[in-house]
Amino acid sequence: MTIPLTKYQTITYEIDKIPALTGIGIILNTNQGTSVIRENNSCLAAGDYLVIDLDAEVASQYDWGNIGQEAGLAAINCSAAVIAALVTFGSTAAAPVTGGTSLALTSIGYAATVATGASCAVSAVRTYNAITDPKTNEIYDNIPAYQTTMKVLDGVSLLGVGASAIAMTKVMKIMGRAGITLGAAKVGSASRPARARLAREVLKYENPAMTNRQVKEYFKLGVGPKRVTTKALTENTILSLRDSLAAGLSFLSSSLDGHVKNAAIYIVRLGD
Amino acid sequence: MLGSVTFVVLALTITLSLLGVTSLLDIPPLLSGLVIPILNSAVALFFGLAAFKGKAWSIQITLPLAALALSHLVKFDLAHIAIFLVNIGLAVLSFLLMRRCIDSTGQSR
Repeated sequence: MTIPLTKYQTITYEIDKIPALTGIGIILNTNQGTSVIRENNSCLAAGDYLVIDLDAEVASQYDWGNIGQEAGLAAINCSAAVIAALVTFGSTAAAPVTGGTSLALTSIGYAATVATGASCAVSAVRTYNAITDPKTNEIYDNIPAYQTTMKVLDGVSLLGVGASAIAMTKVMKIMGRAGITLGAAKVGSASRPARARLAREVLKYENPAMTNRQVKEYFKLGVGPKRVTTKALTENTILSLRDSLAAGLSFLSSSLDGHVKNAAIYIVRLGD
Repeated sequence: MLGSVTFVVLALTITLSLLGVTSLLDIPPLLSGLVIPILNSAVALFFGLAAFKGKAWSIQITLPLAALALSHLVKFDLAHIAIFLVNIGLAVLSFLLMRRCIDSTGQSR
């Protein structure tokens, strides 16, 4: 067995620094065999040899388990970010079923998109660290400011979850009153009378003070469309479902990486 | 869908490109691990939305990102070469996605 010259010099230099061991013979015992890497040439310790016993398995340079865990979380976070961004990129148009997106909900949508995007980027940083310098992730985890900021990011993402849950509840409630199921709305098989009832329900939802007579007059005068089109209904239902899926993924990633592990979830109805 | 995928790929590319630079510099962990990714996400959303609206200037952000990827090659081992290749791949993907976004908006007009 041969060892590189620089390694040989390092070993002998470190041993010779100890006065009692200067010039002592060195035997290297490894899994691959035993060899004398230096004969004894010491007057003080004649016949003595120092045995360096290396019985350890050669450890892998990379902790694949940790890298896999970080990469998995990054994949979930980034998938959530893609779906959360769909709302920002594709749905700023008015939604007839939900009565249009309010400014507050739109702002929450932008904030949640940035927050999920940031979670994705942070996961990428952690995966990079797991490959290049795993100790950095431990340093991050021990900084209170880091933990707090991650909680805030999760909070903003979860605010998006709450907003989408409110929007979805609203959609389901209005569609339920009109007698349209989610499946029928998604495939566009809702009947004409049902879509007409939906248009009435949306109008009533937007204007709770309107009487039935005023609603009838509104449609009779042709102020608004008599029924929601199949295309608009399908698009809005798919949009709400996508939004809920993004929210679900955000929540999943939050619960997996420990930031909301101990959170209690409450569903409250604040009144109509 | 195209816009949101562009946003996420761009955010990842910016993050990975800057990581090479921050690992060279002695930057506090909070800045490199938290502040930069959050700002990256906002920057990516800004440029992603600009590309989605057909603004051709937004694509120029992808050019320095590919150049910054070279900073990963400060260590010439398997991990750093792999990260460099992933970063270059993401930069090319961001460029293609942004160009597609800009082209599709132009066609729809």
